[in-house]
Amino acid sequence: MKQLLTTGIVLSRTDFGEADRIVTLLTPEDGKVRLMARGVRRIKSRMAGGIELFSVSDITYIKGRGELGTLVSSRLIKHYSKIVQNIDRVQLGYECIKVINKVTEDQPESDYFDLLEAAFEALDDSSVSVELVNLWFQAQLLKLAGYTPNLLTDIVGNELVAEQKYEFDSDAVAFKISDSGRYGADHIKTLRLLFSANKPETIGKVEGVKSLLGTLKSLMDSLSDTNFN
Amino acid sequence: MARTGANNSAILSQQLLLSVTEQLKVPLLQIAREAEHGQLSGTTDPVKIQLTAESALQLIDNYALGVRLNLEQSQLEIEPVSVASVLYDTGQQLDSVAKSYGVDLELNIAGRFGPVMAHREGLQAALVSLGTSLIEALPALQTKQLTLQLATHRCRYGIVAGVYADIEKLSSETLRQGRRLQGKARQPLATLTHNSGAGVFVADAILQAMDLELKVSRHHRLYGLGTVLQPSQQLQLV
Amino acid sequence: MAHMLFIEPDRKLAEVYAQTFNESGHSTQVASSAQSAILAVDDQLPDVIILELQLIEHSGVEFLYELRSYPEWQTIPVVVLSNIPPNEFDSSHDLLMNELGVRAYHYKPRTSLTKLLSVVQEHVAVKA
Repeated sequence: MKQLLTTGIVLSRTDFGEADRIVTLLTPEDGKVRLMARGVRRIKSRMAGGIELFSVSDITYIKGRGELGTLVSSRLIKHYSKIVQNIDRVQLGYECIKVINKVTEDQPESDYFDLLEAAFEALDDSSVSVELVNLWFQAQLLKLAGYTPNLLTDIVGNELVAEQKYEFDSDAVAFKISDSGRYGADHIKTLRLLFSANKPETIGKVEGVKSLLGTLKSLMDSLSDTNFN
Repeated sequence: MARTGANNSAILSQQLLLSVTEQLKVPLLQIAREAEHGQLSGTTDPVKIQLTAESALQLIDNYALGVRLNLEQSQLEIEPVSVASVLYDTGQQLDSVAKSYGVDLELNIAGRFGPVMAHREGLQAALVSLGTSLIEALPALQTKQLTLQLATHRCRYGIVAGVYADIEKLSSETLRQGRRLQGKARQPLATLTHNSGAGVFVADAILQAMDLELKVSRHHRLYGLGTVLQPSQQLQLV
Repeated sequence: MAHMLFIEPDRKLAEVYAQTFNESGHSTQVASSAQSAILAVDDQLPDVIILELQLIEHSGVEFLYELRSYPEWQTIPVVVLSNIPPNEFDSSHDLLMNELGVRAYHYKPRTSLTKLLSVVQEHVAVKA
């Protein structure tokens, strides 16, 4: 039987029978993969074994007939160990895993794998704020699902201008001119970065971004609610 | 390594002060619970409480020395010092904390080295500080043996003096990352200690004040922390 | 009379806890790391786990993630007794309490042995 080698991030684990476990992993080439890990429950030495929270491992497995393959071996490549020192980061990390678990299937999902890995990378870096990682992650999810808002023109088709204030129209998924609007040039620039940057670390270095995150959060939340519920 | 100005140096930083403050909570907590246990059970162990208090005093003392050394940098008295004798005295000072954590101390001074140029008090304080940190962490590090070795050996750059144990994960990267995270993360040296690692950073700052560098070091198959010292040339002039 | 597992990296503190609880008629076990704690739970099922989150290398959170992944260990009461101030957990209450099944959070500097004894009593009684 052919042994396949891939990289994986654990999304969930459940027990099976007396001695076995089913581990669900996200892999770049095969999407979500469910593997039976035989006999591991007796050993209970998971932490030394490579299946750890917020980590990426090299996995060797055998494809099964149906949905379930068999895990042959695993080796930890990268453990984002600093995330667990801060409970806010753990919380977001957990949520990212949950969301990704919901939206991925067994087609090739290298984009989602890269996204999750990049999220871990950013959460592991104490110089990147949790709020920023959250916003960036939400933006990237929306983008992958095809829900990028219009950040170039307003609701009537005119280019967005620097001096103007805007409100966000959730139905049109675009900005509309409003003198009492909450969003200005800086917000829009930041939004563009959130949707285009492949990691949040670079956005964090832009001056003044921190103060905008609170306002942007409500916009991002409404976008996510509309599209993912 | 260039000496930084007194106002910028690590020992005077708020981050280190925060780290030391967090670390001091440990012995105080131990004393509080030990004393309460004494009341509950009717049997106090005053020796335990005394040793814990002395350990806390030592941390404060080392930190204060570090601050003073940095403030008086230009007046530092460097003199020829016997590494063996510094290690021996360090062992004496670490004896009680080692006992209270169930750690054995070993002195390993193979080979005959001449004196090195150092500020004796600072060097000893740094080694005691490092030793204490390792001793407190050892029981939780799951090492095969609970032993701390105080050792010296010759290296390409001079004579190394350090504290070592049978620990696995100690790399220069750990120390580098620790210095970056110090003051920002609760556990900047998470693979080495569950605490703030103040003892390591106080030693780091003391050594810096003496123009020495704290390094991850290897002694035979043991890993640890130490510094490289320069042999005294004075006798050659006589 | 209950069996307690203390997950505490500080040996001196662990000794005081163990002595106190032993003298109160409980049996105790101490583990100083996340890994050894998993093995300890496997070795003898505790009635209550008292957990310090700040451990060496793998944190208490990782221990809980591992612990709760085994169905037979999902209901073991866990009380956190940590050096980390509780206000750092205000926004992550949900994660700790619901996902990871922490029954109570206690801050070490403000939790006397007497208080700890009564907290444990509370959770052992609930389990029964």
